[in-house]
Amino acid sequence: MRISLRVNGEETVVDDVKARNTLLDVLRDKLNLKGAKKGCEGEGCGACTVIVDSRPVYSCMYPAIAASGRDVLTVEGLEMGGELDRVQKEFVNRWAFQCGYCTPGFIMALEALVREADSNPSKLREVYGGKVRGIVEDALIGHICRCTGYEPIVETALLLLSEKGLD
Amino acid sequence: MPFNIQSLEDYYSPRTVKEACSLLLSNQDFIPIAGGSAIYIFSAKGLLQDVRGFVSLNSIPLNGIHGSDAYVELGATVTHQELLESRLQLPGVLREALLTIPKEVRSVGTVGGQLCTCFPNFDLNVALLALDAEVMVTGSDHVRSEGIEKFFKGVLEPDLRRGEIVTGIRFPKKRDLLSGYSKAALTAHGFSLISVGVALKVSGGFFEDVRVAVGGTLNTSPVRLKGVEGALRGRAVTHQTISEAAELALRDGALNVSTDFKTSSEYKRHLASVLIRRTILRVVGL
Repeated sequence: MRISLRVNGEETVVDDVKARNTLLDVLRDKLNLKGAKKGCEGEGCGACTVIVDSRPVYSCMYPAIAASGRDVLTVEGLEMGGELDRVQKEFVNRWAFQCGYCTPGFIMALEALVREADSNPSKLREVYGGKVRGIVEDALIGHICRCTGYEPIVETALLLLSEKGLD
Repeated sequence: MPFNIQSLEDYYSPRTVKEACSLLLSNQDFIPIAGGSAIYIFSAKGLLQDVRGFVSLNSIPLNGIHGSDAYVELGATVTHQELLESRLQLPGVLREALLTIPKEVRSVGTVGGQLCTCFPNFDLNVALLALDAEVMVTGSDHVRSEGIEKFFKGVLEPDLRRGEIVTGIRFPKKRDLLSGYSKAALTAHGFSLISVGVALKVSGGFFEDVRVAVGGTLNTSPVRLKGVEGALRGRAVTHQTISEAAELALRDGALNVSTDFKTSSEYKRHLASVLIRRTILRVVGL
């Protein structure tokens, strides 16, 4: 089956997509976007996280054909003109990664959170009863860092939210 | 290939419920999907080898969320995140269960999809069982509804006949309902070893209308512990009543659990008993 979707802002057509293929298969094997990683295949490690229509999803559990017509953003789509974006820069500043395998997933989770804070901050406050640490933990709960470098990631998230008036 | 669903070729996006039902009726090896995320877990475990096609229900408008005075009604393809963000005042058990699920799953996973797996580890199933939900089913020439307990025939075994799909779920809106959800897992967001959903009312210092649902790594779908419920109903709300009732979860036969590589069956029973006690104490404010 042929599907068309937007990937990192570009209209993209992918041929020969099977019903069994995941979005991760298509991104890595057909579009050569190797940022999203295959970690656990379904138990919830978070390394494959990408954003589909502004929502974070596990691309290893997302049927590729279901992404047809949607807007997909991967870690490769964040930089602008050779410059890292805000979340990426803050990861570098704080040394918020070690081996780096989980990093694209964490970054995409935070990208989704920043977008949520931009588009609907009052909903975020309402759902979590105004507890910012709760918002951050919920955004990151589906991600595992085996080097256990969580604190700088959480600090990055708290900083990004405080810039959006959530603190 | 990463998954053993080599035979899976076809993907249909019907526009109406009728069209979906007839596709499923005429193709024995097709299954309906909504978000589709659970499919990859089950296929990785070798449970879906004979599936040849997906019938995606996301192209059908089944994603309404409605609340009346008597009921809350959720369309089958409402995602966990849509439910969490809805304007409805969600019962505590439902809200707390939703927040134990990673956002990445909540974005995609649907109310009806997780229900149809009858999977005991899926948090919403336990919450909906505690809320006395009713499942709405449509076949090619009929519509019916069924209580959630009967719907859960077994793990991966919903009470659906060929050609039937779940179109929605509803649960009664009860005034002054006290409810909560607790979960024990090996990681913050992991599949539950044991989870507990309780929904009850207190009147004049006495328990009434108690429902205690348990999920987790069971050999069955989520279950109600009627022995525990019976030991609470009509009794005074005290530490002692609650502790004694929660201990009934330890009895043989209360829960059908086995020892696996993560936990022993004794430990699961112990967790169930402790979580029941703590959750009830919390919701009644003791």
